[in-house]
Amino acid sequence: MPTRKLVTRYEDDLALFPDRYHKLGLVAGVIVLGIFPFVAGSYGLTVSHSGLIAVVGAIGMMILTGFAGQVSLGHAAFLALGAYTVAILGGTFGWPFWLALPVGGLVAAGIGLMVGPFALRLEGLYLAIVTVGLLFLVDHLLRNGLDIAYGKDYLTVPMHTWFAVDDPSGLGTFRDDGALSGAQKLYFFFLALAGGAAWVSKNIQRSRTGRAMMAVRDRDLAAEVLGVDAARTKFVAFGISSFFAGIAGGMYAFAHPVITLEPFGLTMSVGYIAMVVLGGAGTTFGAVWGALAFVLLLPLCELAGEALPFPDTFSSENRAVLLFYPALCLFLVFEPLGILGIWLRIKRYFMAWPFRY
Amino acid sequence: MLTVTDLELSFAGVKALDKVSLMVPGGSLYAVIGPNGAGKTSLFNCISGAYRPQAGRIQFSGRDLVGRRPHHIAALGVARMFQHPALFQQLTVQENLLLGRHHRYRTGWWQDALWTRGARAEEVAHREKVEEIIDFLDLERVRKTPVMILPYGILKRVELGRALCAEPRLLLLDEPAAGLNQEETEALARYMLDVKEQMGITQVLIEHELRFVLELADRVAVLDFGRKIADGLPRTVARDPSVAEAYLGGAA
Repeated sequence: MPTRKLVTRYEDDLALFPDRYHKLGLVAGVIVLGIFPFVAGSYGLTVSHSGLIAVVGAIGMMILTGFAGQVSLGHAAFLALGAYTVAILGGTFGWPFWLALPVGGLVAAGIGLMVGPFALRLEGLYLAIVTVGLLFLVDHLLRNGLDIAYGKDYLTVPMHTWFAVDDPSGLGTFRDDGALSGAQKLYFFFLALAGGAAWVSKNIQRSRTGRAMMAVRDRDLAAEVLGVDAARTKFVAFGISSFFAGIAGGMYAFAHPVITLEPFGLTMSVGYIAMVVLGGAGTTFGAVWGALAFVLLLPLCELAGEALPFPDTFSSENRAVLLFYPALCLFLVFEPLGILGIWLRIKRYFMAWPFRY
Repeated sequence: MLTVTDLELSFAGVKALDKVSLMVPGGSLYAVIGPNGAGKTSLFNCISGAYRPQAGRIQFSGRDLVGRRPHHIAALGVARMFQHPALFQQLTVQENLLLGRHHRYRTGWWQDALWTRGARAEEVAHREKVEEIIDFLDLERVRKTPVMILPYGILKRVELGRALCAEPRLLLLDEPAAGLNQEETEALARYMLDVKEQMGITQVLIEHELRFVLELADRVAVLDFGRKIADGLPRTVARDPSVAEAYLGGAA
């Protein structure tokens, strides 16, 4: 039995779900994701919200670092910009969520493009340092700007009027007609956003734009001589990446009734890099699975940390971090390609079956 | 076709190119030879825009190339094969070849991101063109193989293919036969003659292997310490005493 479909047209070679097995996988995935919010409890839904936010943010990170090879430690700054834009537009100006969210993405993309010129001159660690500078700058500006404008260092997000509470008068709101709870509506909204982000990322990966990014990553001089405008390619990568980061930040604002600047620090930036590497750099698959694994494993490590004999003064987060990151290091030593490596091996096994290779 | 006039390039006192002038006729196979450090690759870097010469002109089909950025020069129809294969390691052969066609795409990044009908049609059209080159260079077997794991001889062929995919009018070949065995060199010579005769592409070749140059090239220029010391038909250049001196040293 042939395990591969015979490709007879170039269009088929570009399809996302080329054969029966991929299509079956898609249907199964839709069913599982569709049933999940009705089976999961409120804790499960909260974790899934975080997971879907991380998926969108990690896709942004992957486009910049995985595709275009630009190392950025400023990812959290773009999430912060998205989150605060959405919170201010929604809370102070009363914009509907479906309008505030893309604007949040665009604001982050605008600031992201301002880092572009640095990326034209700097590479690798040097660029990483510049982006750390950006992270602190954005943090400083938001902190002081909020202090001046509102006299407080937190913002309330009118997430509840959008998703949880019945508000039929609002423009573009989900009606709470009792069939779906706010958390479930938020889940489906986030699922659509994450699916859309993955689709866009996959489109970039299989088209000219993505190839140009990867060419700049692998050899920028050769790319230029071939006709790739490296400067423009880096700009596009920064723009798209920070747009997705802004969207992820906006989603974060939706999922939390009150936001502060605390979570948007260097730890979050490093977390996104860890997701990209854990998943498998350079692929959309890696961004999605790296983000999901990261978000699901941290609470698990927290649970495990409670059971292990750490000193009582260690907080549960400390314990989780102490367990998670060494485990991540070990995993990457044995599987440098990350989750992608495992998936490729499984796929190869079934493609070659019943032979070993 | 390509005219280089009084080209000068120096790096902090070292004259890499010293008043070099060349005239490459359209449709010809023009060879540039010379000992190591003679400035051959620097000349290519000036033509393709990677270096900016201090003085002199480079004209390609009546257009000045000096001062233009590399991707702009590529769009004018100049393609290049590097001395050490400069392929994109993590991409497949097919993706590398598609990158050769990069500047011929008309769709923008937003069309790619949204996978519009136009973006799809363009991908398919360019894929068809790439398949012609894959067929020409017998690369069918490695089409979907990542470049990283391919042997050197095939890498050279993939790189020639990537340059040809751009449908250039001028092809710069920097030591294409370096590191190839006898059979691979013969196959390469065959491809180069096909490129000249079937595709009508003008080629400028840098090469060390003298026999390869003398049998293939229509004209030969010899560089030594950044200066052109001879220029003419392969036979006459081979007998030129100053060429022998440059290669073998004055005492020989």
